[in-house]
Amino acid sequence: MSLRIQGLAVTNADNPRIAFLHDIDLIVPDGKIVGLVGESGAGKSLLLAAILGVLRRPAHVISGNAYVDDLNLLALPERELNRLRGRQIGFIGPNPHVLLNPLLPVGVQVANFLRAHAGRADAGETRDRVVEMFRSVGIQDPDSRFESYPHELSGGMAQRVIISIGLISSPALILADEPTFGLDVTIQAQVLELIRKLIADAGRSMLLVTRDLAIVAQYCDLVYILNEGRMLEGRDVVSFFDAPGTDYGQSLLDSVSLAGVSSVRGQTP
Amino acid sequence: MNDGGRVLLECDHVVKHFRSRAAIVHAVNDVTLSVNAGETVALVGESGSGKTTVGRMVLGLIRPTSGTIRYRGEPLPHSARARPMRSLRRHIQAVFQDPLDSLDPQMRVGRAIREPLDRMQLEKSPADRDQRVREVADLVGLSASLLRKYPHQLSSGQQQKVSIARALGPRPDFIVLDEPTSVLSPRDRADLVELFRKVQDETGVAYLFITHDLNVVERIANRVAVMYLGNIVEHGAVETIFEEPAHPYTKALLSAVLVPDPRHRGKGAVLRGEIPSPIAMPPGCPFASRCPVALPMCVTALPGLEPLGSRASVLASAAHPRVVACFRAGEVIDGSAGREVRDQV
Repeated sequence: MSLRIQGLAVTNADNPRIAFLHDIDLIVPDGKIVGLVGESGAGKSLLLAAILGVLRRPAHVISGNAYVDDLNLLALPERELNRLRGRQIGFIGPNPHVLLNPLLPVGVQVANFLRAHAGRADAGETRDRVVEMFRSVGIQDPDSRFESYPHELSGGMAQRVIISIGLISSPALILADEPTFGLDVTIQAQVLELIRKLIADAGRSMLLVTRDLAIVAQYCDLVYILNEGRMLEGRDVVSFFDAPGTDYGQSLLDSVSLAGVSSVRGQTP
Repeated sequence: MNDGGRVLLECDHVVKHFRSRAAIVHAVNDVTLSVNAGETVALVGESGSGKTTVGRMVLGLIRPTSGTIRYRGEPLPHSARARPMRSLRRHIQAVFQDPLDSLDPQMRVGRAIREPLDRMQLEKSPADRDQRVREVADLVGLSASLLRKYPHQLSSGQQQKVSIARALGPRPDFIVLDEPTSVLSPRDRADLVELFRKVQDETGVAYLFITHDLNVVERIANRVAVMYLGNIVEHGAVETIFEEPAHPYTKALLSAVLVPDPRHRGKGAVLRGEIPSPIAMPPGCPFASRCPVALPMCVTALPGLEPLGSRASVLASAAHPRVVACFRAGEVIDGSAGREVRDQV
């Protein structure tokens, strides 16, 4: 499933002169992993929220389209959007201990998600599907982990639960927001490898939001650079790393290269 | 502060076990480590390796179960509240992971930087303390207008600079940095690493740098100790260990670092599974359950930290020879065990 964003603009509803996202174009081709890179405050998560139709006031979309195959998400009624979200479009967020309900066993949370999106199903069958999902994302002893509460899981295990939620309804398009932020390097490698495999096996596509260009270099096919609400460039990963098309892209690259430390100073306003 | 090279901190066979209901958590099993004046020693390992517990013991926040920690040759006082510990506070400072957790949300950051100076009655007069606040703010690059703000009004990079300025105020000669860059964006991280270096150049402060970010270690540390499940498994000069890791865990950790180069894509995750529970400690090598080159003996016998044979690297850094706790270290280095590592992936 492909995603095509055209001319998307998000402004402050209370003060239209304040724009959060300017005229964004972005394409996630079928079967590809596309990196969306920017610093804190660049508008990465806002862009995801706009696509998913979950922007919070005062942010609101004033123009643009976001096509998933031939459907324009931004023009769909809420009911139809709901049918896509969680079923055709999966979401993997950062920070599992914030996203998970601390009072419910993790298996129940994934089962609830599945029931909400896949409709009525036999309880035993739902449980089997969740346990199977847990197994495929590398949760050891998935049957007993079904009953675990979030605080009983390590960060890496809890993140796998979030990935299970993102993938359990076999979405064709996955939006992932910093899916490995804060994990140890060894666990990060495991989780990213897992996501790559799950995507490649089923011919899915993914938009991967990250601040880490090393992740982009290792896992993405295309990369887009967002800064202060503007899309500065979008191209294939190898050509970006060979020669970024913008000074800003170059400065991001400098800040991760082992040889040099960032030359560009300053904060996102 | 002009005592470069002198030993500041020594941990001698330090052990920390926590009692949790009926079980014993073996957080730190045997850590021997020293930090000299003006140098940076990195303590690296995954979550659950015990590195933060070591930092807390060094800060005197918790007491070791056994073993001793000495600062300038004197054992650390037994209680964090004891008077001798308080007088040590100005010499040993700390910067923690999340600045929002360590800064008082209701205190303007300029006051937060000043607070330890007031508490410890440092500098000659209140006016001198104001002056000292300006000095350290200047050193870390915080403008006067920022000092009047509250923590939530600053970016996380600026918040962490406040924590650093606060730690520097009392003119410490040793700072424990516990994952100070891990919640920051890559660019803020790079800025902060530069700042730590600059501060060290200008003040001669020594760091115990606790982190799981090996990129940072390479940029900042002189020596590195790699921890796994409460044990140091390899310890030595950063160049030696990064170029030629001798412990299979160090090797795996280094290979899990993502290279920012799409033309050199890794072969994927090297290590399977997670760090085992520190409650049921395995009798043999703590890494055996995940080790790609483990032998039957590794499961039953615990390898000690030994200098690495007749290798050139031992001579190269005679003051701090590289030590490794692995029966197969020699083979890991010369690649004969490394080939198996790759074959199995």
